[in-house]
Order: sequence, then structure tokens, then C-alpha cells
Amino acid sequence: MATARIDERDFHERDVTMMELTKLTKEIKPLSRVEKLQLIEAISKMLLEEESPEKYLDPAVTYGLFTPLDQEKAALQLQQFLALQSR
Amino acid sequence: MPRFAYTAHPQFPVGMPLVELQLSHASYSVVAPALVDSGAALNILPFDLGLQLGLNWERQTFPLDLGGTLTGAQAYAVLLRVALAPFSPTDLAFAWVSRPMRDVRLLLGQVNFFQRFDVHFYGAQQIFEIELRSP
Repeated sequence: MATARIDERDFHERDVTMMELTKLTKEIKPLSRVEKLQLIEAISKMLLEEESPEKYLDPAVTYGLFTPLDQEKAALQLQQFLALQSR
Repeated sequence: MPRFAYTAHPQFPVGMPLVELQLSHASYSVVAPALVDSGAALNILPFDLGLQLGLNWERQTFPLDLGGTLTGAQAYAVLLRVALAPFSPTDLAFAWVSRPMRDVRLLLGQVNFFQRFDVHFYGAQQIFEIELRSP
């Protein structure tokens, strides 16, 4: 089943990530206290940059939203118009 | 299945699913880009585009009640012959609204574009596919 295959892939990806994290932790462990704090600072900065809306949206750009909302009644009427046309 | 590319915008980081339509009414014909908008409940025809197609506002007989962002705008149902290459021309019903192109876009919405055509969006790949349903 397709679902089972996806689950297996998920587990595999999780295992790979866990292995990478374990490897990283081993590499970080010998660092000095100052170096570890510098690493925390660098990761915090990285997270802030990744979470910034400016990564996805440019404040200088005007984003047009064209979809007219709440037109269900008009759509029903247009459908009735179409039915009349096909008679 | 015919495949279309998203249209890039000079200021916009991502493209939009636009198609080039040839709209016809009586002896008039206009070619214009239309947004394939699955969120729109109905097809929208801006006022000035309708005039270019020779439509007469005063002679329209089928009013529509618009809501939401178009509350206060008047609209009439009109039937147009629409050619979207490579498909054969087909009839689509539009809400001809009393707003010009600078305020509203030419939109292809659920009634009745999405009833006549199946559309598959692949936004991450910036392409979409359109298939004409048999009437």
C-alpha cells in the first residue's frame, strides 16, 4: 500500500536526521564553553532569519489579490442564467 | 493534456496562472489575459472589456447580486464565445461587472469555467494543465 511506503520513508528520513544530530552532538561536545555559546548565538540568528517574513514577502512589492469573495449567490444566479441559455 | 506555464510578473517573485483568451460577441472579438482562479465562484468580465466586445449595459436583462469585495457593484450575466488554444471555442457565462480592468481582473472561476475544464495546478513547478470536459 502507498501509505505504508510513505510511512517507511518517513521513518528512514527520521533515522537519517537522528544519525546526523548524534554526529553533530559528538562534534560539538569537545568545543569550549565560549565556542558553544557562539554556536548558540549563530543558530539563534539563523532561526530568526529563517522565520523572517521578508524571506517570503518583499515589502516593496504590491501583491494583488484578485479573487472576489462571497460571490456564491451571484454564482448561483449565473448558473440559472446558463440553464436558461441551454433551453 | 495541454500544459501552460505560469506568467512571471516583473515585480512578483512567483508567477500567476494566466491564459490568453479570445473573447467573442456578435462581430466583436478581444484577446486578453485571464487569471485561472479556482477561488472565484464565477467568471468575471470587467466593464471596459465588455464595452470593447460591443456589449450594451442598458440592454442587459439578467442582473446578478454581487457580495463581498464587489458589494455595491452592479453586474449582469452575459454569454461569450471563448477560444482558449488549443481547445475548440466554447460558451462561457460571465458576470459583467460595473468595474473597470484597473479594479477587477478578467477571471475564470467555478461557474462555469471550472465546470467546462479540469485544471491541475503544479505551483511549485510553475505550470498548470487544462483539460476540456465533454459538455
